Amino acid sequence: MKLFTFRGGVHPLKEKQAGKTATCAKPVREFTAQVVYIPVDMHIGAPSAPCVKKGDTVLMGQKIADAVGGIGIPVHASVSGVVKEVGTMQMLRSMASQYIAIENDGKDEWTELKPLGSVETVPQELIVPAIKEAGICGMGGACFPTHAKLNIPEGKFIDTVIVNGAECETYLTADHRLMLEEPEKVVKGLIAAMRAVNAKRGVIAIENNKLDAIASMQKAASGKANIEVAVLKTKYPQGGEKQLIDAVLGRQVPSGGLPMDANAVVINVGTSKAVCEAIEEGKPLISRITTVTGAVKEPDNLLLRIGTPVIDAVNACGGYAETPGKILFGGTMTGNAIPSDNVPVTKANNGIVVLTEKEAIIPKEDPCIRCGRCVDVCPIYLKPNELKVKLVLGRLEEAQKKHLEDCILCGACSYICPARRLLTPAFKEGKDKLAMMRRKKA
Amino acid sequence: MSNKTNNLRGVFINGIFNENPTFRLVLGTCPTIAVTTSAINGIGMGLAATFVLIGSNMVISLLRKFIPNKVRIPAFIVVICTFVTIVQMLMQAYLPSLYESLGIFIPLIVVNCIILARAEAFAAKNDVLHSAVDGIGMGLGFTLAITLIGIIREMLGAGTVFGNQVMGAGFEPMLLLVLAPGGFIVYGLLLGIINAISTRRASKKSKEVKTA
Amino acid sequence: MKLAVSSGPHILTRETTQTLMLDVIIALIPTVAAGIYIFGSRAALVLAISVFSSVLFEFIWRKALKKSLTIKDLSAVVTGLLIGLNLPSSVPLWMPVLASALAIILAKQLFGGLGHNFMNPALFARAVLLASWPLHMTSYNLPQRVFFGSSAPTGVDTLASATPLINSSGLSMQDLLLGNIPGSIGEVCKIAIIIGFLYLLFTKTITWEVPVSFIGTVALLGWLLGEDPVRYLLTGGVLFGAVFMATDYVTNPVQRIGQFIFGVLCGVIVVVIRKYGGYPEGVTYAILFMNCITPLIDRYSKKKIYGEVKKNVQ
Repeated sequence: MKLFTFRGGVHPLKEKQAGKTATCAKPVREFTAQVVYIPVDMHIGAPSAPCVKKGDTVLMGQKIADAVGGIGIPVHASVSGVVKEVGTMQMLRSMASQYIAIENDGKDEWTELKPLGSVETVPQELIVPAIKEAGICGMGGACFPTHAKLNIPEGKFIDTVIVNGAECETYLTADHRLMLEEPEKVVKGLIAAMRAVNAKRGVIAIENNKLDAIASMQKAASGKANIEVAVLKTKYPQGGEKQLIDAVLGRQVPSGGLPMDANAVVINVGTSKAVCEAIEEGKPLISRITTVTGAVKEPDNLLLRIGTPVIDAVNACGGYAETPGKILFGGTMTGNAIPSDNVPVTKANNGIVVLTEKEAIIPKEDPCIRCGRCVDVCPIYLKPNELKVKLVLGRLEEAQKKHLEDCILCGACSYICPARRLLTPAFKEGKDKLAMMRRKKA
Repeated sequence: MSNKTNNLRGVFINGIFNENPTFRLVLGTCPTIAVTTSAINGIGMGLAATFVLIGSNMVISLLRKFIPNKVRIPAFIVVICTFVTIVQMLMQAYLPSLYESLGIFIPLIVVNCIILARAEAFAAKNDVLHSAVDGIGMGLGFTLAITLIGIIREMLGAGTVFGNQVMGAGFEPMLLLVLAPGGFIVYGLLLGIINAISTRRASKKSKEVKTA
Repeated sequence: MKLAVSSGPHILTRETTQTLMLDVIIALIPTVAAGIYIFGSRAALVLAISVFSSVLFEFIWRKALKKSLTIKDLSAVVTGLLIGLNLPSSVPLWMPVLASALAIILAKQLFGGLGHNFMNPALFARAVLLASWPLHMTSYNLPQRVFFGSSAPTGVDTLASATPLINSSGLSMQDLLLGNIPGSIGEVCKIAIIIGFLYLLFTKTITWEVPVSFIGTVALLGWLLGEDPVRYLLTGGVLFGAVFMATDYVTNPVQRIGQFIFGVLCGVIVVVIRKYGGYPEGVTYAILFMNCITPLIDRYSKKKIYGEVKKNVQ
């Protein structure tokens, strides 16, 4: 079998496999919280505007916040019940986020749903608006609104839609379970996306550490002439958008460009399933599969309503096994550390990884010994050691010339550095500063 | 009057310490590294350069109003050359062994940047007396510095100082120090030590100023 | 409950500077053992003194300047071992001490400590000793296997001998491989060096580029110039230099392509010095010279980054 891959990358294999074995064989279990706290700024773009107030009764799937701006998406109630409050909380962003809290009445009463019919027959022009109305955004972690991704401007064309089932992150098994349990929905979502952008070809890309998922997807895609399953080498960051396009199609996204500049669109398997449900069942995105693992007593894959507080999800898995030192949204390579365990699960949250206090210790930075490992592993082929020196000296513009902005913050260089240099955090800071300068200029 | 003598003393001290050509201005590094393989070479070179420096400073100071600005560098060089030639001939006549060991570096005093720098920066702007004192100060500073380097290199590299055995019989001289790399290393280390001392002094002073 | 908030990645490889240095030390064990077996207890003494004094000088310097202590990263131990292995076993015992001082203080700490030196400290020390006391550095003990208790290392056994580079015709291939020849403590036993090289490659401590291109160039040029390439490699210090000295991370280029160029140029300089220079062996100077131009190689070995392509057109 041909293995697709890219040059560079790291193999956090031991950690990766060890982290995944705890949950990869556990079927998805549904869990519903008593109170959900639904943030209105889960996606990239302007936060949505709440359209309900305290005391309102809402049904499951009812819109509770309207989309704002071109790429904004609406937010829907993930349970039926009464709006408890509209407040703010410190979550992942530097500013406090607004949320809508709903007290669950336990009835799970759906609002009126408007299915559009089969993904094969639905009129093409209805697909993208339906995706927007369902509030779907990238569920692999980035949370970029999907309708914006599928909205191809005049003059560009897409020939391939890639469904990203690589799940190259450590610990996470949410996508893995989804591909095992609902492969048909993933394929249907892909068909919808392909029709939306007029793509001739669909590829489902999966790393070769998930052989059962590969078989499952191959079975679901059999008989579909223009859809194939691509087997990827297990390597991090194989699931990065740019790396995936390079590995599967042998094309590179031009520096500073978008995947559409390489005539490709990449969507996550979870997103694909959500697209299918939005069109065939008319259901908005109100729940997702999240892997709860790390220092919890019974690591598991949970189907969580959007807005479930982390502490509830952890308790559903038997509670903390040890005093937590750090809790991550996402895997250990690119996950975001959350400030408290009251933070709710968002649409992009594919995993809750609890690290012990020992694992949370940040080691001291040693001097760079120029071993060259970071240069070897960088999937963008930058020179992280050189960039770091420039950033330490405050030479932001020189770093920009050395393509700092092309860095995808995958963390491979920081992971591999024997001197424990904080490379990725420095690049993140540098990129944020550059983005700020750009915004000021505009 | 006292003000003037103070001023003269200042110019003199300046050349030896604050603006020592070798250690503070880092001028004339070529002879500094090349001829300091022994202490006597250092002194010889230093005194020869001092003589040229005093002479050229005085003459250039006297002529400073007559030399047109545009051709001043060639004019300075002509004056310096004259004195270098005098030194060379005197040395050849009276100190033939030193003349032999310094070799090409005697005529090369012409392009020693200390001399040209003082002509340009000092003698062309000051009167004869001050220029002469500046020449003496700078020359002595240079002589002291390269003699120091010469002593260190000769002592460790050959076991002698001014030709006298100073190290014990068991001492095995470190040949490297009388080779070119030794010159760089000793000069570099001395520069480093002096810089370290002066920065420490400066930071102490600024602390004192702050506390006061 | 207090949760730490930091940006990713949140796991790190187990490899640290310390484990890398430890791997180098492990890789040096066969060479050290062979050197002691071949040259006797005197070699052990030289090695012990150079390691001890290297660590001591590092400790004193960091302590005196009130800087963080860096003994634990083991880099001083590696430097000390390399200094000892680069000396003949017959040197007077003050030489390893002086060499350690030169390497640790002059070549390493004065430039800012680990990671900032522009020259391999151990090689710098060797070059200084070679220029200062050429007699001590080039008169080698014959292999003698004299240990404490047996007869003192004087007499017929310790006849000084020139390096086999000058005349290796009398030595069998077996002697060359096993190190039954005069030379520096570390350079003689090629088998031990090859074991160390394989260990370093296997643990991915070093990349193959520098040693392979270095050794390959020397063999190729030697062959072109009419030498027997295998004997050309087995005499002298090319193997030891290419495996343990030229692969020092700090002083060779960061990129693979740069490392390859580095190795090739090292090999060229070695052959030029051996064939046309005044010294019988040029590994030390070749590596030191290439150390100096490493920043240049780094600067000019450019890398095409991801996405530096024209827009895809179909």
